[in-house]
Amino acid sequence: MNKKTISKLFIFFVAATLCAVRAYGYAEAEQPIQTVVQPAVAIEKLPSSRETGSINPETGTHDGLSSVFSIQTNGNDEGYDFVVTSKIMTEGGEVSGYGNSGSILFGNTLSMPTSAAIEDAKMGGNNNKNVIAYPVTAAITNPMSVEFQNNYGIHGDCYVVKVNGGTEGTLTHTVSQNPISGTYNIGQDEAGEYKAVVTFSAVSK
Amino acid sequence: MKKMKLTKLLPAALALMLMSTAVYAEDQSNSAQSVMTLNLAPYIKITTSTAAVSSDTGYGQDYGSITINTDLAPTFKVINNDPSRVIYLKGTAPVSGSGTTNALYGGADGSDMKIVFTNTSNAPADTSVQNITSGSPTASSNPNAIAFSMASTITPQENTGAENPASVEFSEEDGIKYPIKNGIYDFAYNITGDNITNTFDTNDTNGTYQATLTLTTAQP
Repeated sequence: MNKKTISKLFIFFVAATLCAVRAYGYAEAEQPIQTVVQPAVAIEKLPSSRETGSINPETGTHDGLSSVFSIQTNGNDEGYDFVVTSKIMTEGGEVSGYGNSGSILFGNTLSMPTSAAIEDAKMGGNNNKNVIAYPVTAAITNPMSVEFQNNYGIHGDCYVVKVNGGTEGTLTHTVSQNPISGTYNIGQDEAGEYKAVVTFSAVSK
Repeated sequence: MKKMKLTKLLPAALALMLMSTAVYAEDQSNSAQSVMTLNLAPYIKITTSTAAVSSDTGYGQDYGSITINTDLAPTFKVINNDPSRVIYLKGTAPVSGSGTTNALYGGADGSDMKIVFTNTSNAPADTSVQNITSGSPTASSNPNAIAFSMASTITPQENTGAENPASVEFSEEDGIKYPIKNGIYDFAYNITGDNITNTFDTNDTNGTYQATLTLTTAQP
C-alpha cells in the first residue's frame, strides 16, 4: 500500500467518523470518550482593595489598608501551595516583608532600610530606621482557611491558605492601623513613601 | 495547494486538535499582587520646658560691670522626621515703640554668640541695641541695653537619626541657621557671667532686662 492510498483511506475514515450520527439507524457502537481536567487556579486582586493611606506622624497610625483577592480553583491542597508572601526593598535588594509573628513591614522607598533594620523590625525591636511594622489580620471564605507560618518550604515566611475542598473564596489581608510598638519612631522614620508588596500565589507542587 | 500537501496537512491538524486539551491543562501558577503604600508626611515639633528663665544680677566694683547670678539656661526639644530640615534660632529684645529688634550677634558660623537684653520698662531705641550688635559697642551709646555671652550645646539623641548640625550659619536677618537631619535633638543655651565689655554703665537704668529666644522652622 503506497502513501497516497494510506492518505485516502485516512480521509475516508475521518469522514466516516463524522458521519456516524447519520449512520446511527443502521448500527450502534459505544465509544467511551475521556478527557482529563487538569487542576487550574485563577487568582485576582479585587477593586475593593485599599492600597494607599497616610501615616499620622505623631503616632505612626495609618488610616487603613487591605488587599482583597478572589480565588477560584478546582485544585487541592495536595497539588498546590496557596501562599501569600510579602516583599520589601532594602539597601541590599528585595527581602521577605513579614515579621516573625505575621506582621508586615513597610519600608521607606527613598531612604531604603538596611537589612539589620529589617531584621530588628521583624522581631519588634526599636532600632529599625525607615521600617514600620503593622500587625496583619488574614481571613478567607469557608471552608478555606489561612494562617501564618514561618519558613514554609521554599516560600519562607508567609500566610498559607488551605482550600479544604473549596472552589471559590475571597481572601482579605488587612493591615492593622497601629504600628507594632518600637517599630515606629518619629525621629528614626523619615518622611516619605513607605511600601510593601503582597502577593497571593498558587504554586503547583 | 496540491492535493498531496493537503493530505499531509490533514493528519497533522487532526493530531493537534486531539492534543489541544492536554496542552491546555499543563500545570500553571497563578498569582495576583497588591502594592500598598503609606505616606508619612513631613513633621516637626519644637517645644521648650523652660517657658521663662530669670536670674538676679550683681554689680562689680563701682558699677563697672554686671553679673548674672544664676545661669540662664533655656532649652528646646526638636522632633523632626524630615532629613532636609532647616531651623532658625532668633533672638529679640524689646525696643521703644512697642517693637523688638534682633538681639543676637557673633561669628558668621554661629560661634562666639552674644545676646542683648533690654530694659522692659524703659526700652531703648533700636539704635542702642544696634550699637552693641555691630560688634563695636560704646557704653554711652547703648543705654538700657546689656549684652552677655551665650553658649550653645546641641545634643542629637542616639538611634534617632539625629546628627550634629553641619554648616551652621549666623546672620542678622536669619539668626542662627541650623540644617538638621531627621531625629530628636536637645538644643540648650547658657547665658552667664559678666556683661560684654562696653555694654554696661550707668546709662543702664535699674529694672528688668529681657531677651527672647525663638527656635522655629520659619525663616525670619
